[in-house]
Parts: sequence; C-alpha cells; structure tokens
Amino acid sequence: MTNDEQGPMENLLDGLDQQSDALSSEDLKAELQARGIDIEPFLQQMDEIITAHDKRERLAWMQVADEKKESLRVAETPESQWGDRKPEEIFAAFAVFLKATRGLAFRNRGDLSVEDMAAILEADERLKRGEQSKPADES
Amino acid sequence: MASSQRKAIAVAKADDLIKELQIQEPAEIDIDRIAIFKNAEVRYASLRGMDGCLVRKDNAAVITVRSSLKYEGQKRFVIAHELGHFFLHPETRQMETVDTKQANNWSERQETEEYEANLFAAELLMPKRFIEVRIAGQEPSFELIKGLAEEFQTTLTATAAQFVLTTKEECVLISSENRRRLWFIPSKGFSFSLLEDDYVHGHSCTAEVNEEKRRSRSSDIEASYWLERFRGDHKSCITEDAIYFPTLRRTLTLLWIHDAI
Repeated sequence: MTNDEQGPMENLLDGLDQQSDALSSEDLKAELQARGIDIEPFLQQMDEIITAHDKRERLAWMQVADEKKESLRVAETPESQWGDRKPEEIFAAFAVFLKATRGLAFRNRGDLSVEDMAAILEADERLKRGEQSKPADES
Repeated sequence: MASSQRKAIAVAKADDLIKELQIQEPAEIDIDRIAIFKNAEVRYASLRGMDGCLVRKDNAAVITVRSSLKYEGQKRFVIAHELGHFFLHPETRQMETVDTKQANNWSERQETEEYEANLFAAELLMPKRFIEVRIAGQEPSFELIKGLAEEFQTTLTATAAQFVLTTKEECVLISSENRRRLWFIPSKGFSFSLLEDDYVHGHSCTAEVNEEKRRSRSSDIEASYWLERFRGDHKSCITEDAIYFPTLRRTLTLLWIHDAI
C-alpha cells in the first residue's frame, strides 16, 4: 500500500509515529484535538477497563468464596437434622458433643436454650458431612 | 505469653488477613465471603441464649448467627468475632469460660479470649490503616464515630472502641449503666487515671442522658468529675460526649483532653 492509498487515520498515525518522540502526551492530545479528534473519552474508558480488571484480579478470592458457598448450598440437605428432635435427645447429644469437642466459641452467651444446642449440633453435623464428602487426597 | 503480646497478635492476624485478601476499601470487607473463603460457613438460626457461635473441626468451621439481630453491624461483628476465635484459639472450649458478665465487655484489662476476638474483629472490620486517614485532624466526637460506623457497617460501640484504639488524641471511652462505670478503654496516649470510684458524677453529660435525652456533649466538663488529681480544681476542663442506648440501657461516653490540663 502506498501513501496515496492510506486513509486519513493511517496518515495521522504515521505522522504521530514520526513525531511522538518530540511531543509530550499533552502536545499529542492537543495535536489530535486540533484535528478534531478528542481522545479523552477513549483514554478514560481504557482507564476504567484497566481499573475494573485490576479490581477483579485483586478480589478474585470473592469468586472462590461464591463458588464454595454454591457448592455448600447444593450439598445441603433440605431438612434440619436436629431442629425437630425431642429436647431429651438434644440434651443427651449435646452432652456427648461437649465431651468430645475441641473448638467451640460464643458471642454474648447466656443460658443456652434447646434451640441453641440444636443449632450447635446442626453445625457439628454439617462439619462431619463436609469431612466425609471431601476427596481422599484432601483429607 | 504476655497478655499485651497476645493482643498484638490478634490485631496482627486480622491485618495479615486484610493484606492477604488485598482489601483496599471498606466496601470490600465482605465478611460473609471472607469467612467462607477461609472455610468457615456462615449460617443464621433463631438462637436465644447467644448472639452467635463457632463450631470448629480441624481447618473448617460453621459460624451460626442469631437471625433476629437487628442491625447489619451486629451480624458483621458476630461473624468477625467468631473468625477471631477460628484464627486465634484453635482448641477453645468456651462452655466453661465465657459467661454473660464478659459479654459486650471491651475492657482492655480483660485477659480473655473474648477480648482478643473483639480486637481481631475490630481490626478486620475497621483496619487501623483505613481509620487513621479518616480521623486525621478531626475532633473526636460521636458524630465522627457515627460516620465511620456507617461507612464500615459496624456497630457504634465497636467503632468507638476501634476509634479510641487508633486515635492519637488523648481520649478514653467509657461504658456505664445506671451511672456506674462498667468498662473503659484509654487511647494510647491517655496519660490520666479515671477516678477510683466508679460512680458517674451527677453534673456530667453521662448523668444527663436517658430515654428522652439521648445525647449530650460539652467542652466545659470539670476534669475532676472523671479524673484523679483534680479534686478542688474547677478550672481544668475536658470535653465529654455521651450517648444513651435505650435497648441496652447503657451509656457510652467519650472523654477528650482537648487542651493541656
């Protein structure tokens, strides 16, 4: 392709290419503006795309968290294991749980109700189920 | 290990987590996602005798939160507090150690896992690095603290505690009930001692707030109302800001030494 066959954009880019060392970015912007081309919106758009991409990369752990949450939701059994049991059963199971557990903490605890104990047993049950469903190489 | 060292570790662990997750602004402190990312599932249940609990097995945990908690800030704090136990106290068994007297206690004198979990939660939800830039050059007040609580989606008490733990001003945060002091947190540079008697002075802003008048602030509070070594001195004044919480029936007070006394 000869120079005669080049379009105005190609000519402009060629010219900029030849002059770019001599021009600052502000001069370049002014030169383009004088020729009726405002690159400010384009630069701003590029900046936004890059910023959004950086943020996505930086916060990639959030997507991992969402995937983990989704896999827990899929694995969830619809019915509660402990909520509908008789209080005597819950008390007995909770006593057994307390003897064995090595990881139980509270926030603002008063006297625990049967519902509280059931929730704790439910949590323990979920952890056990999670343990069982892990692939062998992970456990 | 010394208690101060344990407290420093609690704060450092939260800070490490913020750095690991490359969190740069308050809106990115998505506590539910942080928990699940770290293998702690968050569930909500109709709990009655606690605001939340953590059940742990090896490197995984389930955090259960009382679903009836009214404010988002409370829920977030419960999750962050339980994450504190998850990261700091792998073998905790709080059935025997935690009781209602320790609940909601922010006293720095406390040497319990509860206080460490509170410190962790405060740092995770309101990193000091983020708070410092927002409070620089600002007058300590509950207005400022409320603004921070809104931005960080945290409770007023936790935000006030983190504010006092971060500020370079001479401040002290006091919680009281029925005009009796419950606990207090001095800022790092606070060089005074609170009166030994924990009874709140009748002319203080704290004594003034109640169900009807929920807020009182004055810069002309005699230092002797609150501080040792000012008995009989009617000229030395400090700033007092008091806010009343009707549901808790407690008052939170912020004292600020605004001028050399």
